[in-house]
Amino acid sequence: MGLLYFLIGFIVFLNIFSFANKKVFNKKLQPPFINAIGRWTMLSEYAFYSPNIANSYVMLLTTKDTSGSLNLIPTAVSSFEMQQKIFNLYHFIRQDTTLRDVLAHSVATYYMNVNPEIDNIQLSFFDYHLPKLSRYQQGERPELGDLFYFSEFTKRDVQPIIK
Amino acid sequence: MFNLSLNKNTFLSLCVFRCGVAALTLIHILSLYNDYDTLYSSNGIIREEVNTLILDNTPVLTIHALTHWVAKYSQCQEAQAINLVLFVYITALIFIFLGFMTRFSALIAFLIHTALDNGATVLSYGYDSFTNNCLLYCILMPVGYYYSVDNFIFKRKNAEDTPLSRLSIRLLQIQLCTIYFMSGINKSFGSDWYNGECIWRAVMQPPLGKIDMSFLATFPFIAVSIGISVLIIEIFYPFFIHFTRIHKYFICIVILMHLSIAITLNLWFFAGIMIIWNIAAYGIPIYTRTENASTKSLTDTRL
Repeated sequence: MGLLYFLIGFIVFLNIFSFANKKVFNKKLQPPFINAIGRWTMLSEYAFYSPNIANSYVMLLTTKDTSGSLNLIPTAVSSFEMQQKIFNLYHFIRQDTTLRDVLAHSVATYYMNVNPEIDNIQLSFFDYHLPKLSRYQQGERPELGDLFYFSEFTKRDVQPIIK
Repeated sequence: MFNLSLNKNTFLSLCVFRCGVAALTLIHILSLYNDYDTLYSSNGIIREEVNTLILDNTPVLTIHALTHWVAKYSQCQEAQAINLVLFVYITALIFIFLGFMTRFSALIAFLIHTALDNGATVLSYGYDSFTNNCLLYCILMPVGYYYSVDNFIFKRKNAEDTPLSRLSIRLLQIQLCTIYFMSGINKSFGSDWYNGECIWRAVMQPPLGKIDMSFLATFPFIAVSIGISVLIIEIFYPFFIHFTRIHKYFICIVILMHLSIAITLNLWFFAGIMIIWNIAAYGIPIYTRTENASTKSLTDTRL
């Protein structure tokens, strides 16, 4: 029973002070067990939608046919939960410049496996530009913003590259 | 003025926590039924080797490792192994809901959920972390001692109140207060929460905004008031929730806030887990305390 008290207290203690995780435990200094506990017990910051809400992102998947014209590949998902998860992927690609290429490669491989008739694929990630409240009132409307990432893959490329 | 005491229904709160978490997690995994391969197979949208790279080779349990292990020992294909793992997961969640071998079922569900979460790290968000947390609490806290199959099998009566159950509820409360307070403080550093822009962005941008809320541009004060209300609710949550005069109204406001998030932003599961946590940690203690107080005052009046 004592051990149980200790465990509950310890885990909740970690959670309560979780906001300090990123500041106190520098990623380089963070030992693997802390990382593992972090994944298990939500040792991450509780900063939902803060301090501000960033721009959203849009991914366009296109394929070039023999005549050279671009066709859009459908990326609609079956549930809103899945949509939320896929959006997190876009967010990751936007934020993490070091892993962008491998993530894009993974996405391209997946869509090529789903659509075996396609032999090339272009991934374009755009910022979603939503006008401010006042500008919307003045008639400005949402549109695709800057292209922040683009890559192109052919069937030959989409073999696993990381071992 | 402030009431920090707990009543004797701590096991009822823990029972609600157990059933709520199990039911919501069950609905969540079933809602992803068509996407299991996309999410969790080694050739899914995040390939196994990419996920390993993202995890920076941290030694954590992933769904890929688990399915390889299951496939090896049961000599089946990867897709079948995923289905087998998910079948065990769903069964464990049903057992938690029923209170059957609660701690063991919670341990199984927790391990599989951890593996699912680690197997698709870049696809997981706040809800997944909360669920993982709740399943861990279902292992550690005495959640299976009230209206459970375990009670029926071991011929136990519904437990009333123990130091461990009180500690468990208290810790849920402390964590909930910390979550809201930290979230509110972090938001308060952003200027957009004061001028309505955050609310505007939240409801109008894909993939969250589902309902046409463009009328907010005509009546911006609505967005401004909602933004400031969110800050007030979150920062002052630990204060208002213990303030006897208003706590029962305040908990309704918090639940309404999460319901609005669910409807307007389509974050049903995230809202659901927060509502369950609020009801278990504060809703039941507050309402049963109020009920007891009114019964007591009625008895006093009659006397």
